[in-house]
Amino acid sequence: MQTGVEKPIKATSVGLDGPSQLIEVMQIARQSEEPLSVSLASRALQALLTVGSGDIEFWKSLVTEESFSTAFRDMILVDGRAPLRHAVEKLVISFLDREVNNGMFPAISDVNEALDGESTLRIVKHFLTITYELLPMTFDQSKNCLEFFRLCQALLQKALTQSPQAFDFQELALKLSHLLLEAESTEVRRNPLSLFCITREYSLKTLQEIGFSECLDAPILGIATLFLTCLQTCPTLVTSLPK
Amino acid sequence: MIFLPPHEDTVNFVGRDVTSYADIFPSGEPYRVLYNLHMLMEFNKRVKDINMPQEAVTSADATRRQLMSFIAEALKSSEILPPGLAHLQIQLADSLISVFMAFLHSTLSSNLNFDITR
Repeated sequence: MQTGVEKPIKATSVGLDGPSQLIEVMQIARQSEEPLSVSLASRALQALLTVGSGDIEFWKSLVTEESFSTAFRDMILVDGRAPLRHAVEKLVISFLDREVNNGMFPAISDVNEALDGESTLRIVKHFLTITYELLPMTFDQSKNCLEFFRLCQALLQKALTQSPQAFDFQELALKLSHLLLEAESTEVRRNPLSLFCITREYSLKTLQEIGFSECLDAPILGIATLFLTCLQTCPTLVTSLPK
Repeated sequence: MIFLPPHEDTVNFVGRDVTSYADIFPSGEPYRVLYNLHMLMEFNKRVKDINMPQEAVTSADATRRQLMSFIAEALKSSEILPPGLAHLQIQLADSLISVFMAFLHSTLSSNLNFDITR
């Protein structure tokens, strides 16, 4: 009986020796003002994610390529064309969420091979840099931010789980806590909960019980979740964080 | 031109095993390339019949992979996609990616896992 789960195919078997060709098409399309470029950019991203979700080598090259994450961020957050932003949002949701994509593709976060240490560090460093840029986002952009953070979180979670030796956890946790502090200074007036209190709890279960996700704007939720991922992986870090 | 019904010979031609890169992507003929890409889409629709015998499925899969390799090569070609894309090049690129995705989905579908225990 058919299970509905597709066997992955190797990128090389369809003539792709890496993601660069498709990334370039995506970038060119994003920078073009031709009406067709909207569908071209989102289709190129879809092709990258489809191939990457089945081929770990291709996926590794994709997520460690800064031009990809930058183009992706610009498409989901910066681009002035709403149809493009919405198309990208839909794509990301379907690829990250097995329930939404009906199991037709393996979710990106399910890819089970380890990234090497250098790659994971590059990813985290790059995404943390991007995160700083996202803090001033206005509330109506937070939905886009949430999807972006979901991708960041899937990447970081995978990297932390599979290559913990590659991380200086203390440095990472400190960076994330500083992000939270900075976020708190601008967002705390809108939110009934103090983010700093939240980070002290460092228990996702507790946060869920107190309605964490309903109280916070999406960008802050994203940062806090990254931070919690880090703390859950290495709970002793909490003693070295700023009080 | 793509609104005209495809000629049988043309559809068969683009899907043949012996078709070369230059046949699909003739140099300096962007409109012919666009038409050939449209024919590739037709070809893909015709070989998606789920009742095809296994041999035919395997053969169609091999042809699709070969054609996808041509498309990947075309994506690298500065002739097909020169820097600073104009309307025609965007249209070409969009068709290239559309056909590539259609082939990719068909290939994934023809590779469905089967659970013989159920």
